Amino acid sequence: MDRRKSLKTLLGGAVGTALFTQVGCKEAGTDPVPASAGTELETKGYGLRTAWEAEREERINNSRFFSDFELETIGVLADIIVPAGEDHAKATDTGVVEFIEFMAKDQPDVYQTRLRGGLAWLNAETSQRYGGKAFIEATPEEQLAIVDDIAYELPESEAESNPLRTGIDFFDRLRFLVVTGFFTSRDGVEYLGYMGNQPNVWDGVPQDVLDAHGLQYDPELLPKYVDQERRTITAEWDEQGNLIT
Amino acid sequence: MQIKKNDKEYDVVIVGSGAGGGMSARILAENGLNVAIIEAGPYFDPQNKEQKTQLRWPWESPRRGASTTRPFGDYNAAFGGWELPNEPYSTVGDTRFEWFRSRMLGGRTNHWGRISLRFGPDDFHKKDFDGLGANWPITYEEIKPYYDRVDKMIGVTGTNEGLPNDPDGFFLPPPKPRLSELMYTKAARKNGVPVYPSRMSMLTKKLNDDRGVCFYCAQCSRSCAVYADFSAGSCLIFPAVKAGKGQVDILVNCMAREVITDDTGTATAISYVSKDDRREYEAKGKVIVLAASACETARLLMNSRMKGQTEGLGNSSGTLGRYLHDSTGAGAAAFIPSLMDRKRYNEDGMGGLHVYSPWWGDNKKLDFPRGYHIEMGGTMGMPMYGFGGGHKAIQKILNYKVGGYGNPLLKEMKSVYGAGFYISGRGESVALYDNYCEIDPNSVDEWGIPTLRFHYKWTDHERLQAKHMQETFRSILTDMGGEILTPEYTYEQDYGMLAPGAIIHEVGTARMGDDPKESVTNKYGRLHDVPNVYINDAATFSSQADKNPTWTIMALAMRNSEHIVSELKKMNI
Repeated sequence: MDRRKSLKTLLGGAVGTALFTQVGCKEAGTDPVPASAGTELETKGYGLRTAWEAEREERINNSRFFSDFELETIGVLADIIVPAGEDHAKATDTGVVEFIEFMAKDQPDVYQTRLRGGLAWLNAETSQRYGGKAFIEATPEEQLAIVDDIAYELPESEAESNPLRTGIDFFDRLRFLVVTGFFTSRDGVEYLGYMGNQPNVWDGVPQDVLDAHGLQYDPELLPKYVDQERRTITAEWDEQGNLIT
Repeated sequence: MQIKKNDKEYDVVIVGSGAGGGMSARILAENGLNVAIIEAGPYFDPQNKEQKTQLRWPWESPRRGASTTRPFGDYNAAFGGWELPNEPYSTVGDTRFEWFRSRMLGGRTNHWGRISLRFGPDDFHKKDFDGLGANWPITYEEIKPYYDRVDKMIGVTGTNEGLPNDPDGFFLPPPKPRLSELMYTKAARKNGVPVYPSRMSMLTKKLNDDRGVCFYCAQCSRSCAVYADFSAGSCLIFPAVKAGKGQVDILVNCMAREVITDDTGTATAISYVSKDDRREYEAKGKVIVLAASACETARLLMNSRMKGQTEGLGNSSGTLGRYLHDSTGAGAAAFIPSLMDRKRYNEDGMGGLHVYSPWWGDNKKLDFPRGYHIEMGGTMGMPMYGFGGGHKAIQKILNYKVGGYGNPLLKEMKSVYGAGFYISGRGESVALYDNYCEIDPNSVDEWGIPTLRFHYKWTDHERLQAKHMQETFRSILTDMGGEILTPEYTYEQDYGMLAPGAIIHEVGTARMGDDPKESVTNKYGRLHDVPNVYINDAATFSSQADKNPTWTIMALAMRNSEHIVSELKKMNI
């Protein structure tokens, strides 16, 4: 069956219409809602916060942790970790710096001293290597030379004694924030290829995927799975519990 | 209708609006009774656009969904967690106990896993098999009609398999398994572990005109805006209000303090503090139903005083607060190299697993009593805070250089997306007298209500069960072609078993029984000591099964509520 026609049939009933209206889709019975459609434009905020959550968030938003200098440094590092690619934007264009500033205030014990201390370490290291420069003043080649030294895990034998350990720990933590921030941005989700978060009708693994993995649905169970053509018909059972609709 | 204070006497005052309180309200109101529901949190309706988090994207949260203020992340529909501001609890000695509370209409049903398993015939008399714990004063046959009605009223997926201790029911058709679930099925069966379609309270098919049909966004933990999943508000309380047979007054932001009794030993009211004005009020009722959750209900009774009783209302047996037990929980995760570079498609599916494994073992041949069921999953799910956090472990497995940056790193992460898989067990622990909660004499919450302190220790019954889980899961994961990420835990580490309370299936604090010296309520949840007080939550469970408690809470609340109706008609209350 034609996939579009199938979805139109399946979602076109009364329930389908209500459903599409609620998620702000253009009209019922067209294609599945495109991945870019969501609820974000419908209401401000991101769903109900409790009073203490809302107060907490207001305090966070009214405070500032990193200085401009620190944020600029984070931005340069973030774009080294996630530079622009053929099919995605660079980190600073995906809200990652704002996210990191928020997280430093949201989880201060986890992030504040480690990130701030790490940035200071980085500037000290840059200064020693390159005649008093801060990291953001170094040339891109100089910046990458330092990053290459701190971007990889040490062998266990060196883990305690290596003088770069502070920098390696810092980079690891920052890399986590940058990567998680990127992949949870609109651009990152698209790059990753996540195709969900939209009303749809699950009807099993695509056949070519089953074939590629050498798997198949158990023919005995197939009749027991939901018949998506009949999903909007009200369920009724016989006395033994057999579904009859 | 939401109100703050009133002087009228209700037929029934219900404390709590979750599975037990919601079902009580619906049954009582359908029988024409006027009820008040006292709920400690705010009104919540997932259909309300200001409130709903469903279908929101990770970037709409400034913390990208991190669990800073909610243990299961920013979009989770639980207003609460294991810690609540200004509502402490304490533990004694080396007790590890974590108490999850959700303050909102519908309580923890708004975010729960929706795994909806009936208890089986054996589960009501486990003591007959192993001599441990206590039998229930009721049998499966007595509860079966109520389970049947819950199935039809709420909706649950599944298949009738004729299993001896995992009964058939009135099931909605289950969805087809996801790719990794097919791999699990194959590997589990190779290990002698059975696999069946999952039993989840989502509507894969239309049930009635009030609720929508599942649209497969996998976000039941956010509570469904079209009411396609079971939440107590959507499926019990709103229909009770809509039916209009008996009046249902919902008193939100009201924290129950104690059950008020008169000189004759009859309960007359619930006293509560309004969180909005911090003043004290009473809701008068001919009958009081407690459904505040096992520990909160026990706390409420312990904080209630009646003439001649110093150890709390309904506690002449001395068992109130005792026999507290939670499900066991342990798990293992793996990276599955054959799932690298997956073709992209939307595999969100229902919110949770499409297949599950009921307990299959024979305890006579094992070194522990009681069993567990298996939950599992692994999908190309929505990325949230934490995404990429485990990548170094995967790099080690793949013999990549550990660390890195730039587009090569991003390509690696893209390549392993959706290649993780976890298996976890949820098992039955043995109820023990020495695992209990009591009032902490040194502490009150911000409402001036004395708080709980917990005494709880796992025993080898649970530890050896967790060991069996680990061995089973590692074997299945290996047979799936997986590289195991979870460390091998030792006896001293309880084989990776989580702390009691972590699974949020706590039950047993006011257990039912025929003998008033050994139990708090009779088989209808009615206090032995105070005939017009009923307990309609999991406090009355004589034992937990290797099943999730919600379906049984609702079946019992339905049965108890109809008993109340009948007793009121007979003028026995």
